[in-house]
Amino acid sequence: MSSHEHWAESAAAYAIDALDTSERPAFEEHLSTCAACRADVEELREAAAMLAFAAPSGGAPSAELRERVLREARDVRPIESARSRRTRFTVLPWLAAAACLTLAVLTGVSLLRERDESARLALQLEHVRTDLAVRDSTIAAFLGPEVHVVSLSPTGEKPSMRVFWNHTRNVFIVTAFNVPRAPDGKTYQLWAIRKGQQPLSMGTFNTDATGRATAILAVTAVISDGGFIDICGLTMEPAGGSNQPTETPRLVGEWRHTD
Amino acid sequence: MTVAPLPLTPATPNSAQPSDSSLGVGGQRTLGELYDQFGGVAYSLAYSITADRERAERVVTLSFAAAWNEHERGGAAPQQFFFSLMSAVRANAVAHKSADRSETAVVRFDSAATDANSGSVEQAVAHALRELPDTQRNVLALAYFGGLAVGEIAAELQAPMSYVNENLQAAMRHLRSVLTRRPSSVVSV
Repeated sequence: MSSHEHWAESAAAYAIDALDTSERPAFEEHLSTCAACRADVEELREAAAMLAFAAPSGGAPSAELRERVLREARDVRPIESARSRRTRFTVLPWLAAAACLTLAVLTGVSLLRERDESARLALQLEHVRTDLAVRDSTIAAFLGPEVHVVSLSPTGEKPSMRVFWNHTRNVFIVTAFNVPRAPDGKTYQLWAIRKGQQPLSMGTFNTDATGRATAILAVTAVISDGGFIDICGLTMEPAGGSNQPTETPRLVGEWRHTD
Repeated sequence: MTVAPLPLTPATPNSAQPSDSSLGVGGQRTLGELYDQFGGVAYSLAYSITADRERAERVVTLSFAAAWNEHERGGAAPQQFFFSLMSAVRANAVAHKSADRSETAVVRFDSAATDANSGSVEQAVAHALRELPDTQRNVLALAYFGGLAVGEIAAELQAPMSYVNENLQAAMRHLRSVLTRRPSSVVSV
């Protein structure tokens, strides 16, 4: 049996996330070189997604869920978003605020002078306000009184990621530098690791073309209820994330207090 | 049985239909429109696995954020968003499920196959599942709803891993042959 024939038999289990953890790295290594298996997995994943329709109705979710989904998705924000390209996250807060305020004022003047562009400018103003609110929220999360921080780096090299855990707001703020963008079909996934326990997913994100990212990830109950985290790790996973890491962490770091 | 392009209908009675201008495959939609269309089935899947409303809602929230972020905030075709969303929902739900959920997965999978409304995508999936031999359906249910890996299913059934792998593969390939068509007719959204 050839290598391809051997691994082709594992495509279904991989697509439904049932391939044993010990076999995943080798299968993914094969996937990286086999277009036929990649296409096979992609189609099988689509079929697996359709199985969601076999789930019996769980009744209607709460009326608040829709707003919660919109709010949290808005907060998990990649830095490459078109509306945030003008400024980098490292810009001092007051400069960012001043820039946005200036833009907002200019937008207001333009509204008076350029009636034909009123709709476009109103939308631009809304975007600026949204950006400012998100930035304020991010800055506030950084400066909170109960913040733990971890710097992640390859062994022996300078940190290329920092993760802040704001316990008051119950969020992780992720900043990345020089982390190559995950290719299509892949994503970066952060893991909270407590000694002697299985890693817990902290969420997924991706970097932009320059290798940068800033994202706010909600802290799940299973993490917040489990006490202090010893180590944070970063892996590259299939889109949507994995239940457990499928590779050795590319970046690791130990948590420490900032206060 | 072959299935015509499958409409992804809103799963909750009060879901709003997106306007025609936003329906084209490959077109962009707002997150609200995507929630209105996929929120119901995402919640049902999460609840089926976690059996807990609060956990299910948390899973849905996290999964929409992940899928939305993954596709650069609405830049992907709706069906690609759907695939990412359901993958995230299932993974998050398995991570949040109670320890004993795998024991009831087969029963609920079987009952789901008899609850579908006529002409719906749920019926097409249910029909495809009914066509499977019991063994294949059970293995699939343990993997999908139970979140068990091949080795764990083998231990559960006291069968060789190769037996589990073969049945899982046969089940998945049957579902693919019935439910998906290339290039973009898996779901008509």
